[in-house]
Amino acid sequence: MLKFILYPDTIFSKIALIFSSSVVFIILLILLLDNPFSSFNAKQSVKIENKFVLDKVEFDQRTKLSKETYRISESFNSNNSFSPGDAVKIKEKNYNTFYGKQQTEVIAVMGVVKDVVPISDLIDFNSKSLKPFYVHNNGSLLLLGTTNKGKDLLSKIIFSGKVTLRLIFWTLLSFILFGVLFGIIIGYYKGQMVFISKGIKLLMKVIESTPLMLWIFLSVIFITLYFDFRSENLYSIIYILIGFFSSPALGQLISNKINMLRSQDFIVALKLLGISDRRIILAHILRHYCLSDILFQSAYICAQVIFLDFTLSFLEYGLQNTWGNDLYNYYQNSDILPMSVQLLVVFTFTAFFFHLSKFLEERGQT
Amino acid sequence: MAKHFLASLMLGGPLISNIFTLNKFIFVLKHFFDVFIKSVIITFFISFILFILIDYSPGATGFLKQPFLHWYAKMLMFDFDSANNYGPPIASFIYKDLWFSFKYIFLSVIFALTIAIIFLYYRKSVLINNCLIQPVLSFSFIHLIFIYLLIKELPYIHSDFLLIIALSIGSGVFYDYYSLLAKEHENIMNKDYSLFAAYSGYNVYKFARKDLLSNLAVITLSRLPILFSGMIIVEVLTRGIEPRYEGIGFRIWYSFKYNNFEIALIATALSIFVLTFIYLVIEKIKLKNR
Repeated sequence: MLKFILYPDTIFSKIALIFSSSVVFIILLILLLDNPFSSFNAKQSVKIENKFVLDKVEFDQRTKLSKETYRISESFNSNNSFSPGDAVKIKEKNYNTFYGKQQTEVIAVMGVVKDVVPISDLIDFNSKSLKPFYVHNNGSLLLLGTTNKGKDLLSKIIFSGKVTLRLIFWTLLSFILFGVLFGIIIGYYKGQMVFISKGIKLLMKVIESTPLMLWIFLSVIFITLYFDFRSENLYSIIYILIGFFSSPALGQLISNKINMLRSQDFIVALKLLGISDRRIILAHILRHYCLSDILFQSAYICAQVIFLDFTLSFLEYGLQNTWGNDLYNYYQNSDILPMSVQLLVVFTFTAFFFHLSKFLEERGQT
Repeated sequence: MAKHFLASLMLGGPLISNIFTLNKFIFVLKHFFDVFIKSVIITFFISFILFILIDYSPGATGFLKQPFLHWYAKMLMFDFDSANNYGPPIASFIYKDLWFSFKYIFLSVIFALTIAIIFLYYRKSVLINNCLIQPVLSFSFIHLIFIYLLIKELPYIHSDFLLIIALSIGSGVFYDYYSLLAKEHENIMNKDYSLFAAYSGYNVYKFARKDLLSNLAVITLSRLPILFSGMIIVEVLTRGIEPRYEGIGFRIWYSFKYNNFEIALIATALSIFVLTFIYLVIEKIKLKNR
């Protein structure tokens, strides 16, 4: 661990790596613990009662009604059309002054019912953006505050993080599976399975000749052409394809290693001892000689998936509730604090995986 | 020494004048045709898969109105039909789109190369390395979209130049480019003949010129597909907003979105052909260097 933290050459890179590693460690810890600070999950809105302020009410230009609903207080004297606890909308500003008593009232609307309600009897219970370290009435500590829509930001990061990690898992699974398979066939079995080996070489060439982004772009377009809904299962297919389209690089590395090793004495000795090819490949070649390559490529793919999720979300092809998609939503809603936090999370994870990949690559070479 | 390296990179030296002897010309021509034929075959496979996928998609049956082989043969002769049979000829805009995208890609790679050479020249200075080079390299890890959105409204700088900066730096492009150049430079300088030249008092860059140039060509050409990906992202991202960049990536996206499948297939196949050609050229140079 210490070797990894201290491996960059410059102080700047060392600081950047220590910072990103700390953030990644904390987030992973919280992902396991499932937000120990708050009882609000990612889908619940944190609502607190605020004083109703007429000047802050936003009106719809067409209907002339307020955009948000407000609640009538429990202390409201219900001798008109509304009862305490009713959720009403406000129709324009309407000031009435009674003789001897200064009181501002508004016209409240609930469906077809309209009546005058004093401002002191209205409660604003709409979701508002709350600052970090806000302590809610139910004892929840909103460590990172809430979004514009009143969602607990930490819970949202954890929820979306789990979806993003699942996508990373699918990509890694297909990447390692296809990469190792390609590598073994064109490396170890190139003499025995000539036709299949040549076919795979051609397939790898076809995949590598076109940039990954174009493949992904086409995959997403075709998926949306065939299916008009976006579910996580459907997106898993896209991420499995991402793994598949990235796998030739790993396949090439493994086949180069196998080509280098196949004529070595210990492989010949193992074959003479009657040890099966499967055992030679899995227990000797992959385990002792290719593991570092698999790990460094995997770390790179993890960073790549976070990048691609971000890209697809900004191109409006992303899956809901991923880090990239959340970031895009915050950007669209100009939700500054959540956007900054989400950016930090995304970029520290990306930087961490890039550094990890570089570290593993250098270690593998030595 | 570094100054000579810079000059040999920029001017090429007598190597370029020698290449046009008859033998070398035939040699280059032979390799060109080899790469061309392979690109045609690979593009055929990919186009065919795309054709099947489009043809089976809802509402696109028989979109080409001709057999695939016939269409592909016509495409090889650059004979594209009109859009939707009655629209403008596809050839009238598809080349413009392709050139539009590649214009920015080439400019970005030139920009990245210039900055990388300057950084390589000054990298031995601890102060410049710590205060300028490393921060820029770390900044390069930031996603292209974010860099573009961050800088696109900078005053006094032309939006095209800002796009070029974002393309050549964002998403780790510059980091990879600089690292590869630095690593290859280091490798070549540590080769026996370079060390021999240095110890004997000769100009190392003169000795290593061929190696340096071919490696530079491979690394630079291999950036083109990556920059093409970046250009697709920017083109789709800037749809409908100013400044808009409507190149081949935008054409692919737009044609698929509005069910102009024939244009979409032609645009995709052309892009794949160009990128495959570049990829195979890189492979060829690598093979020759081995």
